Amino acid sequence: MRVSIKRPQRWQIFFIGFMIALLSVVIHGCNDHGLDPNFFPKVTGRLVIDGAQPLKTDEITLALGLSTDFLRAVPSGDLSLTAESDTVIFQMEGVIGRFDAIFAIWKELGTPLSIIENMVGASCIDGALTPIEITKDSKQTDTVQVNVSLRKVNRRAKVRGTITFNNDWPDDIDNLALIFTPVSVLFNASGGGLNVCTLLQKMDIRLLPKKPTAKLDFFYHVAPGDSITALVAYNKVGQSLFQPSIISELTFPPTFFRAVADSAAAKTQITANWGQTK
Amino acid sequence: MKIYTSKSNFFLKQTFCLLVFLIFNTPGTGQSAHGEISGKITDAQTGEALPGVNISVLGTVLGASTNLDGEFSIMRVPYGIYDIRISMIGYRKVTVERVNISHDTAPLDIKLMEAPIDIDPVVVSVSKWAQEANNTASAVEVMTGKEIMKRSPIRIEDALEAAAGVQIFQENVNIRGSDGFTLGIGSRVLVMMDGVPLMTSDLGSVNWFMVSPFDLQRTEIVRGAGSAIYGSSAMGGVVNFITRDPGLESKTYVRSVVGFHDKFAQKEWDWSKKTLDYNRLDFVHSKQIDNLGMRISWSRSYSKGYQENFSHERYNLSYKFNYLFPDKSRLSFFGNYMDDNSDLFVLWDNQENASRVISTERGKRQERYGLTLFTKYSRPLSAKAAIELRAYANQFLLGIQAGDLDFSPALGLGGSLQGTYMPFEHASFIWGSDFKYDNTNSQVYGKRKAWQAAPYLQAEWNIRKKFNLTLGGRYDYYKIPKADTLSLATDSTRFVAKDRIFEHFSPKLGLNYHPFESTTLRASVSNGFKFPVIFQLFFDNQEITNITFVANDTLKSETAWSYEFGFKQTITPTWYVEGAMFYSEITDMIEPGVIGVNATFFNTRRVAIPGVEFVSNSRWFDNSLGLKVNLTYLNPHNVDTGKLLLHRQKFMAFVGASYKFKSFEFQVDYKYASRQKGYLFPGRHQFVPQKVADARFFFRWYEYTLMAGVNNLFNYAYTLRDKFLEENRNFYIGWTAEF
Repeated sequence: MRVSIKRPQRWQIFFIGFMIALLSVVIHGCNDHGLDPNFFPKVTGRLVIDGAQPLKTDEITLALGLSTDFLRAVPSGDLSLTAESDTVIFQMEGVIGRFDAIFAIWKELGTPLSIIENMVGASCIDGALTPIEITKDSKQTDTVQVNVSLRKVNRRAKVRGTITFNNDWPDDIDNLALIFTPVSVLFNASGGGLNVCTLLQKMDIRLLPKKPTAKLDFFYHVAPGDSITALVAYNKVGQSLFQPSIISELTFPPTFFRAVADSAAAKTQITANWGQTK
Repeated sequence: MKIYTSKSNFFLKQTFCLLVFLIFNTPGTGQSAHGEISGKITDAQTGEALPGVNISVLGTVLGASTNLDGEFSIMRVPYGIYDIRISMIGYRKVTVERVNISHDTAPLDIKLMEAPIDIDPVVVSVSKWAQEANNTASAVEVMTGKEIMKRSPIRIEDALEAAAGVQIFQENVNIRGSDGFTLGIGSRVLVMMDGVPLMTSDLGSVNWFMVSPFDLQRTEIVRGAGSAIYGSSAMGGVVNFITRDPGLESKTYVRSVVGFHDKFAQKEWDWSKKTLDYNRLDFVHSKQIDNLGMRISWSRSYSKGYQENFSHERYNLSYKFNYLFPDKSRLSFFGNYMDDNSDLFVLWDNQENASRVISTERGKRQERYGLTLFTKYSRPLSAKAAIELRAYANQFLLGIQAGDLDFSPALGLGGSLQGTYMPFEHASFIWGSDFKYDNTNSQVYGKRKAWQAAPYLQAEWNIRKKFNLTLGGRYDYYKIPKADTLSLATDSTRFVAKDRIFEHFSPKLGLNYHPFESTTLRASVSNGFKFPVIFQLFFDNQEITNITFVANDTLKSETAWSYEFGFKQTITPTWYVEGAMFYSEITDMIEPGVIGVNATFFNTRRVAIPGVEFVSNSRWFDNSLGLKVNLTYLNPHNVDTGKLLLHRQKFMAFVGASYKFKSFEFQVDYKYASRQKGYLFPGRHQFVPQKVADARFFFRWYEYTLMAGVNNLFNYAYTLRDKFLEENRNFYIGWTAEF
């Protein structure tokens, strides 16, 4: 016996409708070609370098970022570099958005990239950061200048000592750092003359544990100098460690020492008092 | 106290004796009377005899297959009333109820109807024994060998993307977001062939090329945690390739496919003026001599590559034989040798030149040699009990010219003992234990040895044919003694020189309920775990593409609780829909990460994967039009940060349509996956969704099939992992012959 199956009319309608809808989605969905080779606009500019490159230099890399959120700054890929004495012409991949500046980061051979500890400069004009806006249509930004000082990462002297933390330190500290800086820079800062570009180029920031013990021993390599200041700085969650307002977050009093290149470690004792910031 | 001990011993002895009595003195081995059931199976439409049909006497371990004339005979069946199940891939399953087996049982004469869609296939991968998919507590999908052949002209793993919730990232098979991209290392999806794991000892990854599509009868894909019966590697699911038994008649299959890659739609990415061609040749011959069946298969695949430094040449040779003893016990042996010589494209240089490899890696190659052997022996002990012994060995050699890596031989030896016991008509116990010995000797992680033992027990109880209850668990013990010799590259001071021991008990409770004949509801809760593989623990101090991989030998094993509720509704004989809600919470998930210039594996404290899934599979208009739709939405995220895990997509959709007209068939597939949000390697990356359409055409003429197809029809450019373009548009033609 031959059995014939009657096709319900509504299924035909359902199917034709479904197939048309499906075809529309497919065609609509596939009318683009996906990845765009020119998705990342190019940023070109000049690196103006002050100071000799330390022997342990791996590379100097650049990152577009916000001064309030450095850790999210994305380092550039390969930089196309052409050198003219102390000035280097660079080309880097940008990303769409508005950024406070291009930051320069020194990278030491054999160690991971440390954005906070090895920031050596930024795109600046008259001591202020140069904001950069990259849009979808801007395939190439205007030429920018990134000022880099490598003096602070020429760390040929040593310092050791102990930090004594007094009082109870709060739990909401985002970064706690020991800062080494020439005395002259600090005096300018006290007078309100410090700008963020100078801060990035001259202050050598070394991160400490967020919850240190009452007495914390330290040993660091630092840039040599006749009169170096060491003091503790911190920022709370949501604040920036790099803003000029960092001055209000330095714990005083500072300590002074002399760091001699290729010599025994200088010794210093630092007292950090929570609640007694300048 | 003594009395208690004595009673306890007495009780244990009694229990042991009872078990022995039940296993070895069940009806069929003792003095009880036995009958025989025989019959003939034919095609309902053509009337032709059907060879190779599986006949099972339900409630027992007894079964048989039909011969060339479609005839079968099962002897030594204890007198009684049984349901007889007749099943075959491509035909609608038939269960003949209440067959009275006595001294004069009438032969069965069964006509099977072709089933363009197998609504309720018989599967073996959910609980390690043959059961109807609709009676399991897990979501399981079966792809037939023919379906896989049609969808995989070159790479077999591509065919799996037609399954719901499955995503393939180069060598990673990812089920329901369980895995990201790790080049297959430490896979959470257990890939097996005939129930034997194919994972390598050191990487815990799969070499897909050793699976020849011609060898496959079907592939079973179990979605969701399978640790309760398969252990560590099955936390995300199971893929089990079931190979064909050597045929009852001599058969030779030959397939040849040639194709070429189109230019990229983005002219900036043109990197070669040559024709970027590829080809694959497969040859299979099978023969049966009395009770001995043999099959040999050979494959060669070659490609110039669609991007720079991505050519390959691969060879595969495999051999299988089955021997059926007069007492119905069965011995199988499988051997495979694979040789893969490929260029190595790890990452692109930059998106502007995405088809070109990073300059420091240009010209580098990798060589892989793999030898896999396994043997199985199964024997019915009685009508109610059977055992199966398995043993396997795989030796894998990997040589990569990236960094200073050199050959890393890895030897894996394993075995298992499994028993099936059906004390009552609707109850079954699966018990057994898996054993494994890993031995690696490598420059990159030293000399490492490891042992594993894992006993398991699972009980299934079918209550009034409406409820099916599954209860079971597995205990895994894996030990990696401290190494006598560390790798040359390893900084020994960073290693904790002590034995690493991973142990875990993974329980499972599942429920399956049929409120109506065409409706299945299922629910399950299970605990799973995964221990880190040798590579994840000890691969150390190797620089690849400017990233240094460092070991983390303090990795803990990850554990997960998985919950699932699903339904399946058969709407017509050729249309079913399936849905599922699932939630997994994973503690200490092992994921790769990059810190600075170092990459390592670390434990992520808490990860959750909630999701929903929908499947519709149907054929219409006298089966001429087929339509398959899979939709999966999931959110694999870090519970602490709320962020989507690396290499994961939230939404995946697959739509496949096929149209048959006489000897012609036309297929179109469309795969969509939403864009990912994070990759492993640092650097900027544009993320786009996956939108790929494939089209295929087949023409069958006698024993020959001609085919032509285009993959990535719209030449859409996308990535599924870090800085690596997926295949662009390519065209192919081919033919298959069976004689």
